Amino acid sequence: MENFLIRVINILAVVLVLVLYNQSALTRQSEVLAYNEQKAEYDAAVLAAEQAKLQTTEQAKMQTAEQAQDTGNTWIDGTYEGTGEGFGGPIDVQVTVTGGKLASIAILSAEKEDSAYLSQAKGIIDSMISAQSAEVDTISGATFSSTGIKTAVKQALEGSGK
Amino acid sequence: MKKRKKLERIRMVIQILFFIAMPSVYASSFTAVKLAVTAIGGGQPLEMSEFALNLLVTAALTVLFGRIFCGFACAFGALGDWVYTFFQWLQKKCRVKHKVQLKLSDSWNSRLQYLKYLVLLLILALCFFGKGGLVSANSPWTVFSMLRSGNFAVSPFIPGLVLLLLILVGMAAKERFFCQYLCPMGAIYALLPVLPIGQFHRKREKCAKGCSACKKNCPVSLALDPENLKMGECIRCGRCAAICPKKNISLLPGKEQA
Repeated sequence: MENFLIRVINILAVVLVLVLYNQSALTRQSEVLAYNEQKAEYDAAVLAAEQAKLQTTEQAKMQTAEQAQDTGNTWIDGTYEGTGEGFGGPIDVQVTVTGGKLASIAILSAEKEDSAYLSQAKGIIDSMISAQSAEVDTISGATFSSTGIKTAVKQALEGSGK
Repeated sequence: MKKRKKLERIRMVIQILFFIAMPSVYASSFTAVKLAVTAIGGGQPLEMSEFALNLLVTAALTVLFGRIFCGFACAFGALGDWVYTFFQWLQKKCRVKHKVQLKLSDSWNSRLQYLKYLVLLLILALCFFGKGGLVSANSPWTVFSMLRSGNFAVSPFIPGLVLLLLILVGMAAKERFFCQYLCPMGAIYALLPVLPIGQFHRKREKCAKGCSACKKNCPVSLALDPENLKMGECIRCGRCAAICPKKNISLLPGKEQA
């Protein structure tokens, strides 16, 4: 009987140990699986975020490039003054930049200019605003005055940074 | 004598049937043990498999009836029996004067019977540390399984083949050589509890003085006693019951042998 009982107890002990081991092994296995899942999700999220970031930077770059292509220039908002040499004397202008664009150009003074020629020369202001650049053709028939305005606007825009 | 021959014959027939139809149960069962230990060594949960099923069925059988699997169904054990019988018969036929037979003293026999537990421990240690592949690659059982299924491409398994040949030599010289001294699966079965109903019992008080016929005829040299810790060696061949002059030995306690 003793022989038998000793063996029975031994076997039960072995079975108990195996069951307990298996429990902890199964728990560990499911935890490892859960961890791996989470890690995969996290890695995927990081990747997606990086890609999105890359896209927005790309987009922003493209936008600015487009803008730059359209206008050839970008300016800092503000009002700037400049002077240019007209036919008779200096022409002062005030340039207003809004939203990075040429918003308006005002002639502050042009005392020495002939009014007829000045009126014609003012046409260059419109072209500059629609071209969003100071590099436009001068008005034929009022070359000196329009050049004066052009120079003045250019100088003003230098102060606004490109 | 007649009874003994009859029993032996029945046992041989059953062994032949299993050898033909289910020759790898012992290997499957042991594979289950190796896989389990490998899993534990790797921190993996244990898995049910066909191997595990083999192990559980044979273990359950052993708890009920003792090592009848070893005695009646194991193909490797059968191989040992046949090799021994044939070799001893051959020597008899050739009238060899000094028969080649391994006769060991009780103490040596006892010591060697512990060797299989060492073999078991070694193999399990290797499996635990992830080297189970090494065991299978060099196992004599692998080579035997291949040969048994007609596959003779054993050149990648030279160590296993050498071991198998050495074992065959031992089997020829001593009955149940592998089973009692080296078998790791047998070691596990030998450790299992056996229900009293499955044990051989001997009425010691009726024994003739100085007889020990049972022990002398036992292939594993057992002194029959349910309290004997070595009863795990018994492979249920039934020779003791057949040879006892006083008919003292039986399976059911308190009954005369049928």
